[in-house]
Amino acid sequence: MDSRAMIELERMPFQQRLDKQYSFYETEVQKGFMSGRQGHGPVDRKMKYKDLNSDEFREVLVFGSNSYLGMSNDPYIKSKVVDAVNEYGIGSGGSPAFSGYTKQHRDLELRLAKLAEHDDAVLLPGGYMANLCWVNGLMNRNDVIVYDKNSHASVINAIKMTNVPFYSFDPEDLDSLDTLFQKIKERSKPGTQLFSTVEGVRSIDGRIIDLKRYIEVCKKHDVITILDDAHGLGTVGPTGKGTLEHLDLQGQVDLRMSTCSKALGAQGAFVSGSKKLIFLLRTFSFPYCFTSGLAQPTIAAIDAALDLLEKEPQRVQKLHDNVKYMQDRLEDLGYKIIRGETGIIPVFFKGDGVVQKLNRELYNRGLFANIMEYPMVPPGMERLRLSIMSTHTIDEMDQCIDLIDEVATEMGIK
Amino acid sequence: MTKKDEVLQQVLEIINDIKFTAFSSETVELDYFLGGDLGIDSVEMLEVWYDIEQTLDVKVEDHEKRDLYTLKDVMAIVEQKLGVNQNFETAELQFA
Repeated sequence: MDSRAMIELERMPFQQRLDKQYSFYETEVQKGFMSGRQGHGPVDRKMKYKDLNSDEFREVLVFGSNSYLGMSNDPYIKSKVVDAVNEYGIGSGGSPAFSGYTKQHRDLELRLAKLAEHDDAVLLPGGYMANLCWVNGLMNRNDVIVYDKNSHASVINAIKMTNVPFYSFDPEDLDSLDTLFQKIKERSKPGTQLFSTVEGVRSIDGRIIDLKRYIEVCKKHDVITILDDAHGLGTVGPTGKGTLEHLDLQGQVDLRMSTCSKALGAQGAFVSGSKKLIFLLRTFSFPYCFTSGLAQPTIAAIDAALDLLEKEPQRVQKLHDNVKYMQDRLEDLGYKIIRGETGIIPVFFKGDGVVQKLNRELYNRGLFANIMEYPMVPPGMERLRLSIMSTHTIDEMDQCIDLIDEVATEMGIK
Repeated sequence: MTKKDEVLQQVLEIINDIKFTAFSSETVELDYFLGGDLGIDSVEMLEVWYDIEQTLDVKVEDHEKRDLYTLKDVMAIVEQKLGVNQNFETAELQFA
């Protein structure tokens, strides 16, 4: 669907729009549309999945999970969760503003703040809520936010719901960012606070920008910085603490957001920062104050995952070794890839609109992976998006690559 | 009124139908940012593009609509499609 068709759809009367969208969905299901595939836990290197139009759960190799360090099904973490359930029960029973805040929440917040080399942190039920939290808690219509053009949809939604004036920028062009800050300051009322956010590890291709220079440019203009490091925690840095540790910039941004649902294998997210900034979020951010606090099993899972990250930092190195192995093999076979520094490998193929068919066939032959198509990525940049785990074996990685090569060769898209 | 003035006026009318910016073609500056100055988000900009294409009878591909930050960026594409190819610096002086 191009943008013209999308706007025509948006402008239809509701009932007509609903019918059109539902018929589009039904057509896609008939074609074997891959979204909505149901997995059957536990999340691991191999999992059972079922297609939308079948009742059979089949075991397939998984190269499409964000559980980069294989923690979603780790026996140590599971035992700690069971202990926590026995000791503390299940739900938090309320939002942090009322009854849903416990010592377990507080202890984990402080542990995460220490990891980020910040004073304090707040816990949220997910990355989406965490991004709503810091935008909505910090800003109002008298401030300005300058956001990474690759920012997650949650950041854009947060900006719209907060009604803060917004500018976007290209993180590959930091000279223009410098000029943009200058222009905004010249036009704004005196005293207007500028905020800026950037992605640490980019979610679409696993690459990292020149964060050091970004921070310098922001500091030059007294801009408050927020790093969205959703994909960085556990995947980069010598001990897996994320993009800032990887670049030796720990504590250099004002706020940092990371998720606990990816490499840590659990759920939830946190925002860390100075005592004063986190006070503002804890006290005034509606997405934090009025959402139920994390459930006890989740707190225990995050806590145990941090234990493992501390005790077994070799998991991070193993992830990097696996990624390098996959990158080298794919390039040796002639595939165009983006060599990122995390667990994500984008693989490109010849021809427009081929990745959906490719992915369907890979699933049929026993491989689960994800694809990114337009409009998530620019036209011509559609890709297979492989997510690697530290626990993948050489044999599993070879099977994955052989399957991709087999299908791509048959389809003539190599 | 030059051709460029006319096109800018039409584009501003389209924008104002969707966003009510309080700017007219006489008061707007070409280096105004779509987001910060005119309040247009990326989805709203696609609506603006839809109406520009219908009203001015031009076809702009989706990939050409990406990475545009200012009104000047938008006008450069519209003018290129309409064959209004004078040096943009001249236009900037006229509207400054």
